[in-house]
Amino acid sequence: MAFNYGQLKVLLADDSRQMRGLVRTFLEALNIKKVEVASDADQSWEILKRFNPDLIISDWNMPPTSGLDFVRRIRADKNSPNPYVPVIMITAYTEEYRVLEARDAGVTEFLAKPVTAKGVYDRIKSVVEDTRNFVRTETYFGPDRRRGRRTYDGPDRRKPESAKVVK
Amino acid sequence: MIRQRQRTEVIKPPRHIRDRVGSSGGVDVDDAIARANAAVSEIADTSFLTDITPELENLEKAFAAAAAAPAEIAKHRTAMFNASHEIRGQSGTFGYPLATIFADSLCKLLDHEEITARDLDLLGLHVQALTTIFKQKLKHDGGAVGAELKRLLAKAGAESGPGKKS
Repeated sequence: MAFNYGQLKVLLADDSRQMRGLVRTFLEALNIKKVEVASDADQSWEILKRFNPDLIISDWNMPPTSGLDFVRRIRADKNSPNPYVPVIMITAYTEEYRVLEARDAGVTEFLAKPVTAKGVYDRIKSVVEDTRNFVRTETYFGPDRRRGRRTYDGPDRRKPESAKVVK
Repeated sequence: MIRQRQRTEVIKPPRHIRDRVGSSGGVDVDDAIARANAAVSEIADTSFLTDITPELENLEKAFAAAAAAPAEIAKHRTAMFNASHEIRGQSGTFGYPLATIFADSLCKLLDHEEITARDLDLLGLHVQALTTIFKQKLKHDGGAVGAELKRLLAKAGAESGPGKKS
């Protein structure tokens, strides 16, 4: 299905001017014109309160704080205007422990650099199609970290065609 | 040991991004991606090398400072990491995947707990390789020069590096 993204409001947070320009170009190609940009976490927070975006695309590295701190604040701060807002985290970090760190901060989707137009499109589509609920525990608030993937690939014995009649 | 289960609350978000997305009237996705890729190619051919040069200079400067005072390599590690992290993040998008490969390797070296002055040669090879790639505009796989750079770094990496005795 070709979704119409034309009404989406997107906050794009990245300390790199080049990356902001690049991702904005990708968004505009998808007819996403309502885009506000920020270069650090504090500025992002101010825009979040005023602009109330439907989606946040954030870089991990945004000195002096990090994109992860920003996500944690979105999810946990009692003054957060929308703790449920989906966040796509863009980063050049590829190490597994960092991916898990991002997931545990409440990131919705992870997009590894080098960024491509198709990669951005795929992640946005994935966020739109994401049916996960949110989960709150003593140590976590964010999208359900279990994606409901089946881990068992063997025969499904409960399917009628798999059943055998024992005589 | 008895593990106590955490109390878990499952919450349906009060609003969903899907509510703001129409199911018709969207742009042709293949066409949109093609237009975006054309824009990227234009940036790659015009401003990318100018934009990435300050990061390369930061890397060269931090490495030169580390090489001048090997005992203080740790002081320059963050500056080297930040510059190489930016290079690995951007280069592949703009047609320089070889730079992303070498910058990624450099980041992993710098991320290693055991990095010491003994690793300066290997770090220096990475910095030289990145300088060569951008000065000679070695796009994509970099051809024969790119293959030689890869061979040299693979050889050096196999012989030395953090945690290895050289």
